Amino acid sequence: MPLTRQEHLELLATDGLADAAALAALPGFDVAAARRPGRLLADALAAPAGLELADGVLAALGIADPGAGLLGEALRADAPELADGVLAALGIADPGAGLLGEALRADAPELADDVLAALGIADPGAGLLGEALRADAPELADDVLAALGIADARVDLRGALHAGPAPALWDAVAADLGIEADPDALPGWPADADLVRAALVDPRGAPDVAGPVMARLGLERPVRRAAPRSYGFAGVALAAAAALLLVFTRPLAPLSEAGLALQLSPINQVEIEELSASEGAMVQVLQFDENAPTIIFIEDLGGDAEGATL
Amino acid sequence: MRLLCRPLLAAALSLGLLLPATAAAQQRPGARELPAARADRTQAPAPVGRVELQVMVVYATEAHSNVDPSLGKLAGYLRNLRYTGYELLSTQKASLSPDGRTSFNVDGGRKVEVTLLSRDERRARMRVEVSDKKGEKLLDTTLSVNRNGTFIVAGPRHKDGILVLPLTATY
Repeated sequence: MPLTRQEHLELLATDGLADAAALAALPGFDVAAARRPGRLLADALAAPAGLELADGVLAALGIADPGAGLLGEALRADAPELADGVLAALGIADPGAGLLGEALRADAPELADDVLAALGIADPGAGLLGEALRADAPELADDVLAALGIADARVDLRGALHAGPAPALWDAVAADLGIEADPDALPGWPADADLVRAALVDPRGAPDVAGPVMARLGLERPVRRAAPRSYGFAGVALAAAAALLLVFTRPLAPLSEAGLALQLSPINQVEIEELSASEGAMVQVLQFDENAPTIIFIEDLGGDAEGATL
Repeated sequence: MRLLCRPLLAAALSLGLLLPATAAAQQRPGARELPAARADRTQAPAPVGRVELQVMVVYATEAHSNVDPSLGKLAGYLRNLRYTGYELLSTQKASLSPDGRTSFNVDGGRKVEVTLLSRDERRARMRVEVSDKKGEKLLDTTLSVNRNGTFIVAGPRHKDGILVLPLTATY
């Protein structure tokens, strides 16, 4: 439901936010609806892998307890190396950080439902989701589609989340909010990609994103509970992409040409039923701690065996 | 014992995971299958879905102390071995459905063949066979690994060190 003039004035009176008028003047703006994406995002972030990020990101948006932290602090404290990935998710740059499918496949396939729901692409009419999933993460396609109840999805996931993630995110969030305006028209929206990139990536290689990013988002002041009415919907689109990358993107440390970094599961348990070795070798099974990967070591007993000698 | 530092060896021994030579001999080709193994097989869940297998071919050496960052947290565990340097030579992937079989070519003409026997929500059961360049089998094991879990086959000689082969089953 759009804000009435009176509600608009009350908003200004209670929040004291300079650009509340611009927000409230947007056609179809719905304060009540503005809180829903926050809950969706919170639900997504509340999944186990993202739990440690939820408070910081949501607080930065004013969706959760403002005392929990700011977006910048969350980035700096939890994953400063993800700056490029966050930018990519926002459609600001294309550093090749990876696709959603790859991230889902490698890191946390069990979170696919929550992420897709938070992005608002659970609508069966959204598009060729199935095709995109099969292209990017074929092993997840059936499970994700089944969970979403989508028989004939039609969304280009790659296009929505890689080539143009911010607009796609914005559409979903704006639809939920009942907002028709372009986000670039909103105060505080980071329209200048170069400025944001410069703010996020410190020349010394140690990103300190707190101040600049908060300033660009208009969140340089301590966030109060009333703030989401003003900044929440613009921030939700930003944070949904940022949170997605914070949760799913692998570290951007330099890697060899042979492949991406192994995403080692915290639990690695093996049960060996049968084990045999060649005549000239013996096999030892090594376990260095409870959840460490089991090592099956081929030991050379001499002769022509190819195993190593202990 | 050069491979392991003492505390880690003690830990391995205390866990009862270090197989004695007699046990290994009993498990060589032709050895009779243990009743427990047969029982486990009969209780295997119905196969559903596919499993993504990844094999990393890592060269472990004492010639240097460089550790490839691609190894991620795995490097911390590999440092328990006596080698100081770990170089990722290649990463190979395959997607297997139950009863599917794939072969990974490893440096030195070796092969790692994996047959996915079954998978359920928690574990993937597979047979892993490692053979040398002559086709002779160095290792033949049937095991279950937890979902998205990793285990390592190590020991085949390579240059002045060995090959370490982390296998990850993702689904």
